[in-house]
Amino acid sequence: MLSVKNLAKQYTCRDKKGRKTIVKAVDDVSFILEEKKSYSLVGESGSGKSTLARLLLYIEKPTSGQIKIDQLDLAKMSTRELRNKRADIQMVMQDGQSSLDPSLKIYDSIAEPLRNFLKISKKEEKRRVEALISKVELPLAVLDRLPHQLSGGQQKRVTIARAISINPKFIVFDEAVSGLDVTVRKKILDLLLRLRDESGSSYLFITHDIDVAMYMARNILIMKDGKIVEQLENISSLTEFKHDYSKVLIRSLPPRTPGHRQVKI
Amino acid sequence: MKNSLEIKDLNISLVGNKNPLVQNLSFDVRKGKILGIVGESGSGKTLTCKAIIKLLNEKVFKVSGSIKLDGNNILTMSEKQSRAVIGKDISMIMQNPMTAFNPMMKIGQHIVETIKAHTELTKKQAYALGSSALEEMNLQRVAEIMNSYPHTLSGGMLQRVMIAIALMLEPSIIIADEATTALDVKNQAIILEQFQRMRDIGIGLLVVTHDFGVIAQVADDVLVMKAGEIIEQGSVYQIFYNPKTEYTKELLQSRFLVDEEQLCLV
Ligand SMILES: Nc1ncnc2c1ncn2[C@@H]1O[C@H](COP(=O)(O)OP(=O)(O)OP(=O)(O)O)[C@@H](O)[C@H]1O
Ligand SMILES: Nc1ncnc2c1ncn2[C@@H]1O[C@H](COP(=O)(O)OP(=O)(O)OP(=O)(O)O)[C@@H](O)[C@H]1O
Ligand SMILES: [Mg+2]
Ligand SMILES: [Mg+2]
Repeated sequence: MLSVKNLAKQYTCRDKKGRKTIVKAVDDVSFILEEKKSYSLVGESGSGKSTLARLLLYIEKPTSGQIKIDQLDLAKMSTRELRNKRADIQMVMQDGQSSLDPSLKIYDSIAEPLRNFLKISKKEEKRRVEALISKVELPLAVLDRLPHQLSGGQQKRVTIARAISINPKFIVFDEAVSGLDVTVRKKILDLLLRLRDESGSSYLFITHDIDVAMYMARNILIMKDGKIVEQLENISSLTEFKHDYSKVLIRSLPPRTPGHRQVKI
Repeated sequence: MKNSLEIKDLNISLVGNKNPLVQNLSFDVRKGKILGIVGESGSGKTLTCKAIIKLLNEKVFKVSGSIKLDGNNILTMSEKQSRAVIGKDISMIMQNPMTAFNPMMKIGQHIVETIKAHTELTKKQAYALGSSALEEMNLQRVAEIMNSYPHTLSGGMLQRVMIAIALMLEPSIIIADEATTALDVKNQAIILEQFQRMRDIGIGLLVVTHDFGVIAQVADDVLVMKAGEIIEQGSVYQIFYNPKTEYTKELLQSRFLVDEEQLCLV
């Protein structure tokens, strides 16, 4: 459903003396994400995962390369076509707080996509918003609050509720569960898996947590320095990783208990 | 006791609202030790950290109890005194890196001003100190980062910048609120080594995290929080191998998602 060809995004940055360097945030990336399948994207901090996500959502335009959704080239779509596509693709941003409008009550933040894309009555809207907030394990009382009045993990869950509100076909989750305690995290991940199976949507799950990555999808992409260095389909064990960087990641996993603590060499 | 941060009967509630957000917390952060806090999302961990560095708006939050650093109660100090103590002796790594920086200020300027506020260093020396602090966090292209605005850095890069700022002046207490949530495991391991290095030179660390791997790697003692209260505390070994409360047991059980054997992890 989504194909990416030679995608690149460059940023120019300068040091104090004005010398330019080009940052190849996304560097000649090609892949295909098939319908009704989920993928996990793991990678080094600063390797371009969030940038890639923003390109897929067309929040930012690529420097070069092509993104096709259902065979249609995003760059060739009219504003109106793009707007309609937006109903199919949602994203949970890495930064929970700044992706919520600070002046909007939580209720309105969650209701916003419903109002934009569905024609439903006020009563139905209220019913849905309340159902969504309970699904992400939050009390109804938070609906009346502003984003800064919630904890980090509560903000994250609001952005998840908003992304799933209109049953999109494709959702990009960028570090969506990283600020949640492990019990809530498991409940939310199970909710997402259930929704995916019910509605046949696909996910791209960006996470630094290899355990989360494997739980959400067995198709795994590994990113480093702007490139996808390894893509594995249907893996069943971490031993299948071949690339040096992937192996570094597995070696760097923290100990399971204090008894497994690595003593520094 | 000297040489530590002692929190006693800390209560936090909203002004004009009796329901406490944080209730009767008492714990010590000892120098040369790492105290981990785990717990429910929304249980009051961040509010507790912010109370310690007096970041809670008095018009919104009512804070009672005592927070003593080396015997002096931060809560009853004058504004001027507490500001001097907190900037120099306690530093905090915030949970949300993007909102912790002034979006209009370049990273380098932010770092230089922070250093100059607490030391006698010249601008040039401050710049050099800041740059090397960033390098220690495994950040690449440091000269460009110093000249960048916060929004042009990735989430994990910004987290590492914030960690560098918190560590560079070697305060006596460091508070890290979900400091490695956006880091890949390789960079996380580098940061955890830095935390251990800080502990080894006698700094006390309070590490708030949802990641039991982080706790397993660095914590000496652990607090478990739920609904605004400490429900269990003990050594890291006691918490992992002999948890007392149902909630701690539940957390320990949910910390792995995928069957370890299936992953073939050794
Ligand atoms: N607006 C921008 N201007 C300049 N450089 C940028 C901009 N946005 C991103 N970058 C750079 O692009 C690179 C990739 O950033 P990105 O946020 O995509 O990384 P990431 O893989 O999501 O990292 P993390 O895991 O830390 O969130 C970084 O070097 C970053 O500094
Ligand atoms: N300004 C505020 N007004 C009202 N309630 C607030 C405010 N700030 C925080 N709270 C509430 O206080 C409780 C504790 O929040 P806190 O941010 O300390 O949680 P936390 O333990 O850090 O959670 P997380 O792990 O999700 O970051 C939460 O239920 C939150 O909704
Ligand atoms: Mg990112
Ligand atoms: Mg918090």
